[in-house]
Amino acid sequence: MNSMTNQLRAIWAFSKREMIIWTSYRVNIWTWIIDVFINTSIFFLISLLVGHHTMGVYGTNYVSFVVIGLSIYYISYTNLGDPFPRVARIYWNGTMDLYMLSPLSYFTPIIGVMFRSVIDDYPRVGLAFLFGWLFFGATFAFKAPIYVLLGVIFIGFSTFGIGMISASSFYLLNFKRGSEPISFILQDVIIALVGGYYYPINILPMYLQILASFIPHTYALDLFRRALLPGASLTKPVLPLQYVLKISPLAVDTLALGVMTFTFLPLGLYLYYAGIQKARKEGTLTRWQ
Amino acid sequence: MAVIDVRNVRKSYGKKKKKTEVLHSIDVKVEKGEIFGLLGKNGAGKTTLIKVMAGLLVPDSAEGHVLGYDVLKEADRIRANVSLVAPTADIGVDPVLTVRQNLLFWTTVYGIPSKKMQNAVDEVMEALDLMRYKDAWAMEISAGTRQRLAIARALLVKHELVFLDEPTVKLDMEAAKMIRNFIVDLRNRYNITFFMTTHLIEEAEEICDRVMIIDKGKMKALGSVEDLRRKYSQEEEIIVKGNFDERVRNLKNFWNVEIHEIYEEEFDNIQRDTELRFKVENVDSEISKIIEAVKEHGEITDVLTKRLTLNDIFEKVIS
Repeated sequence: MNSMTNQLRAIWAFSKREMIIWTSYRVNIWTWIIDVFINTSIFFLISLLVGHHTMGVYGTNYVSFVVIGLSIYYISYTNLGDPFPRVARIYWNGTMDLYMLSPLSYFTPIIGVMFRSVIDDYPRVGLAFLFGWLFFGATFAFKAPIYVLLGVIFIGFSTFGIGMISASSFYLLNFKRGSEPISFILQDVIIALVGGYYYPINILPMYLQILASFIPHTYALDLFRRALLPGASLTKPVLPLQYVLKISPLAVDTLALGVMTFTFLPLGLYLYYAGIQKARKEGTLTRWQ
Repeated sequence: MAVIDVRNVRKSYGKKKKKTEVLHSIDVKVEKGEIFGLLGKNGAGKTTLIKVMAGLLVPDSAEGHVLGYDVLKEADRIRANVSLVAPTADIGVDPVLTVRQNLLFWTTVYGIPSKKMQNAVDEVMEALDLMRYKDAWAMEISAGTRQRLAIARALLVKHELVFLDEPTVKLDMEAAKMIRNFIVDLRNRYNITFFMTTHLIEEAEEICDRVMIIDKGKMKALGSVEDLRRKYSQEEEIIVKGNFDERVRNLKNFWNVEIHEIYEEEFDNIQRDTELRFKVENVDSEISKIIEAVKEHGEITDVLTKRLTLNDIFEKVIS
């Protein structure tokens, strides 16, 4: 059996274990469904205030617009926010040494322990679409499937890359107690403010729009809204980079997401590797010394 | 062939002024199939030494090989080919999985092929008397049983070299005995090499072929328990009590013996006994000769021996 098969088997075993743990608390399933329903409902109620006019180049109505926002939020939140606490968990429960004493790669345990959450995100996205369509008048189209597929892959891997940069700070910068500033600043400050989950970013001042140009969420949201919302324009630029590069906005989004993926992912993996090597020198792989 | 052959292992923690040297040039050589004990007080550097040899910790300097792999350049290969039992049973044991689920999870981590997973799990559960707990959640079983589960996890793959960091630390006497028997049995059956740290001197004395005593990161003694006994000889004693004539003093010509008169008062009678304390290198080889010699000078009422234990040696070495 080759090594890659072993790594994939291990990731599956980690996910299965996490699933057994997750489902052992049966109430988790209900809170999971209710959480998606309430999130969608809140934006439906806001849409009643906003009214049913179209969302500019994104066409259709506010609930449809926000369902896309929620979906990207679900996918990216896990990829970006999960690696750090998962590394912290492995460190504090002392199992990092044991995983290191196995044929697993450095990355397999961390991918393994967060993979159930990643898997979990996609049905969550499906539920958001379903609730939006069934109860709150959301409408969707499926205009550019290749772009959607590339977008799903790139937003997943680019945010995972950023998540790994954040996770590497656990060992590289010794952020061992509480939270760390990288994912907080990115996730809870910059992305929350200029990510465009709940409003189109062209309503923001230009300096915030330029700031938004450096995060993958901006392009993923633009891509999915154009590709999945009825009435959304496939040609009219909205984002600063789309005005600069005179090609199709969907191509700009895909290109930007691709560049970010091939920047953040290797960087995140490298920094995490460097963090592990540093911990091996300092004897801080686990709390047990 | 030596499974572990490392020299000049040095390790320090901290930076510049706050640097603490934890290991000072330690050499370790362990032969295949040996059960090797590492003894030392808390903070002596035992766990650090294990982590260096297991490839988990980068030393400041070291030369040599573990399982034939260079201890510095091939640490990743060493890590993939050794097992470790951590001192806390909860490490590597998931409380909300059953005993069987825990072990099955680790078979995948260790890359055991799917067809062999069930057998590997059954074998270690059988050997460590865990079958009756197979469907119990790990959080429901006792600390001792969890420790057995942790050991079972480490032994799922029959690696040539297993590091045991205080493997019986939380166990009662019976469970600890079972683990010790299992370790010896595994060594005998599969020729596995065990490198173990322990606080229980009796444990090392019972199962270790050789022991190393370290203190403040320095090696203080190395050898089999018998070797160390010999090295710290003149500490064993044979004490013979009885009523002897004056000529018993001539025994001083042949042995290192102290002679004491003991007076005991009983029912208004004062009874005089003589106590002869023979300092010998080895109780077993001297006792019959001494008894024969003493019997010629009177009546023996009592014979006591004071053998040097590993604990005595440890205390002496550390002090």
